[in-house]
Amino acid sequence: MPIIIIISLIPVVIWSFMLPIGARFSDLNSITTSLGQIFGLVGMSMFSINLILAGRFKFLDKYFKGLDKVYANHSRLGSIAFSLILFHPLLLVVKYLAISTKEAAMFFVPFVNMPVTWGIISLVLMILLMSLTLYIKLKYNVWKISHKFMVVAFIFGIFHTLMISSDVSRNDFLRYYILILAVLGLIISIRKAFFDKYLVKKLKYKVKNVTQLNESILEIEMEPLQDKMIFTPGQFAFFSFIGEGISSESHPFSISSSNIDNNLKITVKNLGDYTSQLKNLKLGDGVIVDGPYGHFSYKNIPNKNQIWIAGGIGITPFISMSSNLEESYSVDLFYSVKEKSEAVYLNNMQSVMQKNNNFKLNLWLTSTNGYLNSGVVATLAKDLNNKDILLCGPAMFMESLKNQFVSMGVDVKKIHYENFNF
Amino acid sequence: MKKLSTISLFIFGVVVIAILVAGLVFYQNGKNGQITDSSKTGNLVQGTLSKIAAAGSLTLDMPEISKHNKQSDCWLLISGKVYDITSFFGSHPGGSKVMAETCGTDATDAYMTKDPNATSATSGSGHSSRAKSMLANYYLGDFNQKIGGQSNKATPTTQVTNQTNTDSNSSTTTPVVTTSPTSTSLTLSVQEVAKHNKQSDCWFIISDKVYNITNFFGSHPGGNSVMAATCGTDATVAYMTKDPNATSSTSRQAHSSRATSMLSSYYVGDLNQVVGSSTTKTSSNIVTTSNSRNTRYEDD
Repeated sequence: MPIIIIISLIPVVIWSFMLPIGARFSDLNSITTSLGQIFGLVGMSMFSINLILAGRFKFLDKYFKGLDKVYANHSRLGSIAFSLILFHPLLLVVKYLAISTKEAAMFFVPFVNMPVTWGIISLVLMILLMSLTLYIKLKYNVWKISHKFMVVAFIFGIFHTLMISSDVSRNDFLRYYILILAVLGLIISIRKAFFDKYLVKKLKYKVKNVTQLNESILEIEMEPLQDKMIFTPGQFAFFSFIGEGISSESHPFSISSSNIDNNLKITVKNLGDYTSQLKNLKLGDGVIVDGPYGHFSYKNIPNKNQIWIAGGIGITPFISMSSNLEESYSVDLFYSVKEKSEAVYLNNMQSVMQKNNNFKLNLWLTSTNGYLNSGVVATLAKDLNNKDILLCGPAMFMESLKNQFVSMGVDVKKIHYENFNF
Repeated sequence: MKKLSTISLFIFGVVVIAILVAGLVFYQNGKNGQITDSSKTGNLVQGTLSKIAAAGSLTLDMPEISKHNKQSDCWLLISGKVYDITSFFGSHPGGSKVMAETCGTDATDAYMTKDPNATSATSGSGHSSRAKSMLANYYLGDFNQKIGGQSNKATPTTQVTNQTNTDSNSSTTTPVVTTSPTSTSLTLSVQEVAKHNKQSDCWFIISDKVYNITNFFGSHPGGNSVMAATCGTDATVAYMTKDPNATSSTSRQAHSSRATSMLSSYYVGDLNQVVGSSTTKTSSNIVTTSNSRNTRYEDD
């Protein structure tokens, strides 16, 4: 995203005007030192921006066209910042290597020089937390808590940036730029980590009804206590249930009810620790709803000829979308499930079909027909040309179908999906 | 993106471990070699000193320093000491350009802040103690010291005399050892300094120089008690860090160059130097001589 790149590179622009460029890049020592400084400055700026991206803001959801894309950018930017920050000391140590390996080694030893020590502490913490994120499969809620400690690494990093004798300490503009960006990132992450419950405006609901749709799928219906959420069919929200035997952390779910209903419905498949707790829900339990988020909706696509493809529980946004689908839309819905018993909401779909001649349901049973593939979709939908494709289902399912469509010559811009892996 | 992080992390790990192992485990041999090496050459500016000695004598004053203003012949003044760093170009971690800008000038502020355009108001932490010990190899002599003549370095007596002779025009109070012709002499040893360990009679050592700061109490911007804590001791680190309990690993901002020039007024002699003195006590006599700079304390 260009705005991220611009914000990250402004410090380099300021830096480049502080001394003649010739002096910055005159010999090996000065070149490596200069690059090391650039890497540090850009890395820390990106780190600050990343804290802002993690703030789950509605304006970011709109700007990036979906919260999943905000998080995808967060993870990409995090990796780039991490790599830059790793190379920052490696480039700076070159000049000490030119003196002796002893001098170079002392550069990495903590408590020789305090500003350097802040940097070392920050880096060690960052390496630990990034290793947890990248290489160790932690449970989502454990990982989420561990990842919050990135802010601690960030604080040490900012101490290091502002206290060490460098261009940052020598140029007021650079110092305040870095400081403002850092403070912004810090305020946002602290607000999110500690004051989320109090400062972010959230809607209050209570559990009205819990229906077991089949042995593993629950439908939870909620009634607003005050204002109801205004959303576009296909969007999702973060739900946190307050009830006995259910952890109160918030989790994202697609909304399966129609946007004109007063009550809000989500449809949850028992897939893990948290979703299995939801069967403990009782009528009247409180629900805090943060949303809506997401850009996945038939309404955001100008082309009214669409193919919707749902894999299993991925049907939920399509239930909401189809419930009051305008007649001007022509939609082929492919619903892929293992067996017919898994296909929830078939009745709803059929009633939509009766009302709307332009809506067609194709139920695909993988136990008898094998995996759904692009060829089947192309045949049954008659024509892929001039149609936009919306995918929702397990990540592998979406990835595989997307690749198949692209290899059949479908423009990748006409394939829409949302990644729920955050 | 995971690949990028993994590759960076791998390179980082390999390089850091390699440097730490090479620098901390295997360096011992090389270090021994270096010690014998430097014990042979002693001071890296021996050549310059011999040249000066051959040509007669020389006063290390500002006009003289400013003659050596290019990279191929570079002298500079740092905290009242003159250095010939010509042979250090190429080894400076901060690059040669920034250093070249300070040739022939008072580089105290630049050295303290690592910024060649620094003024005394510029903030920034200075060079490390390691850098300081490297710098010592390029030491020519003290500012306004006369070198050459009979020996390469001025004898302490000439230095003190010199100071009294050249600086007796203006009227700031400066304590200087009275170099009286009496035969009684005193060695400025650590033991001797340790005797003067109270506020009413306070000596200390900073960078191998002995100062009698008894008369400076009341004028220290940082207060009396911190300074009193260092009486009779080697206060180098305390002075460098502004922390009386500092160890050599503590890192903080040093005193300003103005503070350093104030300090020079209380100079008694170098550590282990033998100074002439009529009685032990007169070494703290005050004579009226100059101090070229204003002593403004408000902005240390």
